[in-house]
Amino acid sequence: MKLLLFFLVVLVLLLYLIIPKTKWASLLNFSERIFFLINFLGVIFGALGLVLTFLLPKQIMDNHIYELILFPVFIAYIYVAILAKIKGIENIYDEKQIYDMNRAAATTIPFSVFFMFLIYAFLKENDLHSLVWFPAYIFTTITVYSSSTLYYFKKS
Amino acid sequence: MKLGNNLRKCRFEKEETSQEKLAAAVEVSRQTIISVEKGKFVPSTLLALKLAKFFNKSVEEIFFITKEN
Repeated sequence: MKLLLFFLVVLVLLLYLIIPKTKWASLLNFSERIFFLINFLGVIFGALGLVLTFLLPKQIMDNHIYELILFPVFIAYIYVAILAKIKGIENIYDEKQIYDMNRAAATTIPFSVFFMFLIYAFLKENDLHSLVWFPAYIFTTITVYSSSTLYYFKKS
Repeated sequence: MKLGNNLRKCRFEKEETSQEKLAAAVEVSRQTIISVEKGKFVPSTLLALKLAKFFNKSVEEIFFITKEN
C-alpha cells in the first residue's frame, strides 16, 4: 500500500512537470466553479479525515486511510499548481479570490495552532498526539482553510 | 472612509448587463462583482479602471467616497 501511494504521488508530480510542456496544457482551465469545487473538496475530505482521526486513530494509520482521504485534495491542489505554472497564479485567481485566500490563511494559522495545543494539552495521556498528530494537523488545516476561504468568498 | 459605487446603476444603464457578462468582460468572478456592488470588497485600481472602461465612464463616475469616520 505504501509503495502504491508513493508511486501515485511520484506519478502526479511527474504530471506536474510534464503537462505544462504538452498540448494538454491548453485544455486545462479555471473558473469560479472550479475554485468552489476545490475548496468544497477540502471541506468534505478534511472534515472526514478529522472525524476518522479521532474516532479510529489506529485504523486510519495502519491501513493508510488518511493518505487515501488526502489524495483527492492533493490532486486538486496539483491541478491548480499545474495551471499556475502554465498561466501564472495572478491569471487563474482574481483579486478577491486571492484576498479571500489570504484571509483564510490568516484564520487557519491561529486556529490550527490553538487546536493542536488542545490536543497536546488534553490528550497527552492516551497517546493520540504521538500516533496521529500529523493527520490531525493536516486535516485541521485543510478543513479550516477550505471552509474559511469559501466563507469569505461567499459572505464578503 | 467608505467606498460607494454606481455599479448596479451602470449595469442597468448599459443594456441591463448581467453580473456574469460584466465579470467575464473584466476577467473576474461573478462573486467579485457582487461583492464590489454591495460595497463589501474594495476593487484594485486596475479593476476600477477596467470597469470604467467597460462602461465608457470615468472611475469617479462609478466610485465615490461616501463617508468619513
